Amino acid sequence: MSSNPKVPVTVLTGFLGSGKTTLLNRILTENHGKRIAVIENEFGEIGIDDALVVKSDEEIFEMNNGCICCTVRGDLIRILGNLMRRRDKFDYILVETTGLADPAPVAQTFFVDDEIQAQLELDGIVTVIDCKHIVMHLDSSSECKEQIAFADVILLNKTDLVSEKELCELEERIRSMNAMAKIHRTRNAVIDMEKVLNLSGFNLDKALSTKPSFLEPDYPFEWGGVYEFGLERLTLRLENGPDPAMDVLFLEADYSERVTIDKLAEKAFRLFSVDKIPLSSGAVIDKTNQVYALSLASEGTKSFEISLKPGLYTLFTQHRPEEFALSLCTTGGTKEARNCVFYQASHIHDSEISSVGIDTEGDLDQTKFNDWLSKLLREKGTDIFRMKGILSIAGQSERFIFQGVHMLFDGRPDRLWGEEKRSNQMIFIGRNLNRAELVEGFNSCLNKNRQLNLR
Amino acid sequence: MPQQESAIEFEIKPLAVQWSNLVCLDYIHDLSWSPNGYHIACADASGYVSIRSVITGHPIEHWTAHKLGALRVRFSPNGKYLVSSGQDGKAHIYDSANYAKLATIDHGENWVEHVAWHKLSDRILTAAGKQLKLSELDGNPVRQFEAHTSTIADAAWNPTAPDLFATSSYNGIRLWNANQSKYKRLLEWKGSLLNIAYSPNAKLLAAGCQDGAAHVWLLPAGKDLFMNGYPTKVRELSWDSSSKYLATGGGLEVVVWDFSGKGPAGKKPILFPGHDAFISALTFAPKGLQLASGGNDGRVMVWDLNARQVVSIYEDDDSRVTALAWSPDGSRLAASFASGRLSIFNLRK
Repeated sequence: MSSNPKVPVTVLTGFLGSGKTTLLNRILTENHGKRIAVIENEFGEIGIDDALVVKSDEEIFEMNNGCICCTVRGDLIRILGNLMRRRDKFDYILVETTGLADPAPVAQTFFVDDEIQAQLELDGIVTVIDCKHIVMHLDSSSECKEQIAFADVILLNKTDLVSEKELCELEERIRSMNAMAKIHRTRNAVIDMEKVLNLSGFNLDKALSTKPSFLEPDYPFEWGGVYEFGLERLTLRLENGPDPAMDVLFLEADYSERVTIDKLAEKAFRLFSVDKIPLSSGAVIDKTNQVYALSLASEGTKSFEISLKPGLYTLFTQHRPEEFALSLCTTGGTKEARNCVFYQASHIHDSEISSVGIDTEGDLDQTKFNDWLSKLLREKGTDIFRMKGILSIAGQSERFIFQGVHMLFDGRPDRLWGEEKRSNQMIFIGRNLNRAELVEGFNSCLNKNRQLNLR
Repeated sequence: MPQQESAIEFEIKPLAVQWSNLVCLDYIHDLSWSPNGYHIACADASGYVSIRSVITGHPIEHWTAHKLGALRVRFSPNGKYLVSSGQDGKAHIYDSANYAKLATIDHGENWVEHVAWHKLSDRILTAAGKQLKLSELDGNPVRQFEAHTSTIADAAWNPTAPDLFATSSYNGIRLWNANQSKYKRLLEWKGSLLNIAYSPNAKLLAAGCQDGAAHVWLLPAGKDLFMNGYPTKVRELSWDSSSKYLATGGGLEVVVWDFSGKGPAGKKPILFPGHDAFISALTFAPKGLQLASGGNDGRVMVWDLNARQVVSIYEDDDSRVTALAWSPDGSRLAASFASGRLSIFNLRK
């Protein structure tokens, strides 16, 4: 049998009044010549005559496949399966969900049903947001959060109703929940079609094809700088700042030229989650690999003597140094960082939904990784909404690409690594994700020898 | 060189093609033999219904019955009527003498996915979305039934009791009496049930499940058996005439369960591997132990359950098998394809 190319399906989600139907109508008007079928929820109002519109009541079916969170849309299985039997196939299918729909069953339908899998491809989930009214839903509605977390594309619509400042804050908050999605600002849902259609958001070949910025994790520190310490007496001085305390950490940075701050940041990241030593002005900082919680509430300059042997060190600070007028003073003056990195602030993030990106060199032990991932999905599958990754598996010359929704995932070897540097990139989007645990778990699957070499 | 494994060698014959024509414009959804075996009806995804002469393959009648797709076409048991249903929310009743339309049953916007004639050919059951209707030949409703809580996946009359029928949907099977608007009994199963099939003696009721399983209820007790591990959802179900064997699809192999004696619990099913793509249609001959299977590989295979062997094969070059139906006397087999082709095989040749 000849295998026809799969027909792409885009899912449109968004609360009632977000502009979802406006976007749908826009897609239908602007795509002349394409045969589009629309599966619409019961409240939809489509004004286009030449599209085939099928009304559908959302029917969510639990699957008895040993996966507690696996639900599918029974109505979509029926309708999509039937539509695909027609000879004059559709070029594109749009599924509009109800305002309060959970996107998971829609996405999982494309993983579970054999008929759907054979003929259709979930192209992407597009979530439309009403900038003005989203804020009141963001805190209270889990559906709203899930629609954001599942999205490949998020349209911040009705931008004319909010100030630039509100928009920036909203965008930052949404970015912190879903670091994978592309965010576009729109009015009246006006957007280029290529930004919402043919995204291949679930296509393994294009998974993470552009190295995404999301892979920079949200660290519990905002700044890191490399210093060279000699035999001189050093004092860390800070003034009053926006917070009454700040965590700092020194790490030995080795003399190796290869060591970058980013490499150390992963280590710092783990250390920031363990016990901290509280320290008041006048006390001594004499340990590396130890986070100190500097007490900065008192008036005036706070000084901490640094007693570390000569060498290269990286200082990580919870907040930006300039917020506390932080300086490293020698008897002769101040010491400047040789180079420094700013990290994205983490405290503005949504407490519940977040993204965890992992980007690390080294080869994965396939058995260990399988065991870790299946255990993770078994235990936390309900909270992991989406994941994607490109992996470097020990002993395999091809890249391994995979993606998943909750406990369902599919993956396969991709092209050869060739000249490209082997590395692992992965992203999880979910609820109550424990970054340190995920990073640590992932790292524990790395081939040991390789790990030692890196260190 | 692969070794010859079995001592007994069966000759696998190609199926004798009586005729094979493009009878429809599109994917054929359903097939029905007239009870006298002279005519065969097909319904396709473009909304077209076609009636052909079984002997010659010549067109008797054809028409666009439904806007959008036609889903079902069925002759009444007495052969006097034909019903077609479609995605336009309608079911039409025709006089099979001239195929003139007699009446229409309207289900609004919902696709009419199932039709089932009453044994006496005087009433017809139609299911669309969550709505079930029992209508007279003039299209007037006999009775309103309580709406289902989710879309009706299938409906079937009890083969031994005249007014009893069953419907499947998410979370269970409802057993109804045509004279009552509320269902009599719910056979609960937490999951998405698809097609259902009564054994001819009505003592067993089988259902295929979305999650790769089949379920069989022993009636009237309601005790149930559960068979899982199928690679795909299970839609293809067929009982042999003795109510002893249940054949199921749901993957590459035909899986046959033996319900004789203590039943299939703890026993291994009989497996018939032979398709290169998922099975799409399955049906036992009206008598005896011949079983026909069709697949997405375009292959039609006839198996002999006694011999545990395939006896004949037909292969279509470019199209999937969409439905299979034996002639009422079991002498012929009809197979329809996604291309709109219909083939009639002669089994007595």
